[in-house]
Amino acid sequence: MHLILKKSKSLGPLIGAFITMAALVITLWLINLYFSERIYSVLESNSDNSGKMHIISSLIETARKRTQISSQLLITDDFFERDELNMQMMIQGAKFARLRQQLLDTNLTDKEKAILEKQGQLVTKLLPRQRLLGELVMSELKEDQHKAQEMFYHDIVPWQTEHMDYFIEMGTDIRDGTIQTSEEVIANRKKNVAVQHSLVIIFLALMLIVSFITIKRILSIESELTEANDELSRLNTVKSDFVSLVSHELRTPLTSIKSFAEILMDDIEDMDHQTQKRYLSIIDSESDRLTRLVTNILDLQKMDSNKMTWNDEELVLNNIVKESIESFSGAYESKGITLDIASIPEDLSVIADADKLKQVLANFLSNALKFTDEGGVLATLHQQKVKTINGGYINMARVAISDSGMGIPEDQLTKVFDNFHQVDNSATRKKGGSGLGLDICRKIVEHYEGNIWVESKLEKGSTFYFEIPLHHASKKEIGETLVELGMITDDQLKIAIDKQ
Amino acid sequence: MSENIKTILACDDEPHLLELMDYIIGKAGFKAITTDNGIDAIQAAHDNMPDLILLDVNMPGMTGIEVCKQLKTDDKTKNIRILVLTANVQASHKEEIFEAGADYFFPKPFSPRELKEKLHELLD
Repeated sequence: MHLILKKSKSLGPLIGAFITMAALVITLWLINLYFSERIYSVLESNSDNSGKMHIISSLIETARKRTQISSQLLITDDFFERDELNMQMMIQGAKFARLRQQLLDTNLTDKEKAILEKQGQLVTKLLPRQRLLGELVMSELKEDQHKAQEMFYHDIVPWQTEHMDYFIEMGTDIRDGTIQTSEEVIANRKKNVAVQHSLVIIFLALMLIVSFITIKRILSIESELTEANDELSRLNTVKSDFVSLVSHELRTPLTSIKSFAEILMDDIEDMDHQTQKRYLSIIDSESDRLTRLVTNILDLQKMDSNKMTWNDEELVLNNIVKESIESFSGAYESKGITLDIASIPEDLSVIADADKLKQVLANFLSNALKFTDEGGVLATLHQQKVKTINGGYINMARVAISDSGMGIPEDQLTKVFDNFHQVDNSATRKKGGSGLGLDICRKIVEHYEGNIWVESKLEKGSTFYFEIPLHHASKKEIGETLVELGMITDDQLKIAIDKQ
Repeated sequence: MSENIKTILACDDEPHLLELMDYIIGKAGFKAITTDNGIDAIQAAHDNMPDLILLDVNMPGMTGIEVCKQLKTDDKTKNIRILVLTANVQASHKEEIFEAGADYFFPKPFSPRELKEKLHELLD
């Protein structure tokens, strides 16, 4: 049972630790996922930007080439070369238009769109000029040549410069944006690591607490187990002591019964009548002893397993004491010991089982008789105010049986109410008690929340006491008794109750 | 009565059992000395030098084991044979009895016939 207890108790923190760990792993995974998403989106935009940058640099390169070709066109005299250069110009123009379209197809920001629009307006202005320039440079007229040069330096070069400036502006913006996004990536990574680190630290702290609780729990379970084991081994010792005592106590009267019966069977012819009678009386008294022992063992067993029946009723303790004393008067008389009852001032009412109280008194009186060889035994009965544990007072009905016997050594006084305890004195053994009677008395008195004890002086005598709570009749009960006795009427009682 | 009647000392705190042993010893034809406690038993052993001692174990005051040890360590009494009678038949208890120097062991409850036979076997 204790092992199961240990398992169920120690599994709790372990399951807790497992759940915490699982929760941590899932949380770490989710956090990682969240930051990864962010980093991926940034990286994606960076990859867009690198695509744009590539197109823009190609555009700038194309524009630069066109300007270069244009300037070559202006200085060459060879017609065929001019034609060739013109062709290259057209190719670069087409390339430029294609690249521009590619740029327009990318994911553009509003600012980029605005720049491209301005650039587009410039292109609209620039294209007819360039076409005209192409025509002029192909002319053989000096005048046209001169016109072309003027147009190139005044219009086309500044416009192309402006043109390039737009793309440079765009490129710079994109580069700055990329740097910014890269910084964002690093920041996100740092955040991710920081959050994960703090979580791991929190988790480690939690694990530490869980481990601490688990260890504490295990230690407490261990100490509980040790305690339970100690209790079990103590109970086991008590049980085996009880069994060995019972077996010894049973074997002793059995030996007498069996042996004297055998002797009577074998030797009856050789015995005189008196010896026969003597041996039969031993068998009889040892049988009584055996019966008492068995009854006591069964009583104790019933009390220990709460199976004893208690027929409680309102009793006048004085009568119980008187009846018990009367039943012992013969035995006392034949031993020549006096048995008196001190004057009792008033009736003491208690709620108890009459037979059980008589059993306690019979034990006290038979012990007093056994251990008193001369002198007398006195029973006293009185009411006593006793302090309770919580500081209040309770009225008890107390009975004392005082003998003038051998007395009990001081160190044995509390032990006499234990199982099979007999005062360690050969004289006790001679009296043939089982050592169970007072244990039963203690259990009866304790059942009624009373007290039992003994006071003794060696060679002077002992006084055995027991007290149980006094029963106070309620005013209503008193009133009902008065009605029964005809001292007041039913109506008078009702009026009195109503007044209260 | 002849001079060589053997003497048996019996010691038991139970008066009825002592009376029983007294009867059995007498019936077997031996002389019985009885004591109801260990201290008296040691004194009686010294005074009477019996041929055999019948000793109970579970006695208040001085136990049979203690009596046995004392008699067996005393040069005067160490050769007196001791038969221990006990209601406790556990092996460990038996061992303790022999360690104390007892010569024989007899379990309780016993039959007077068997005890009588045992006495004859040991003393005849």
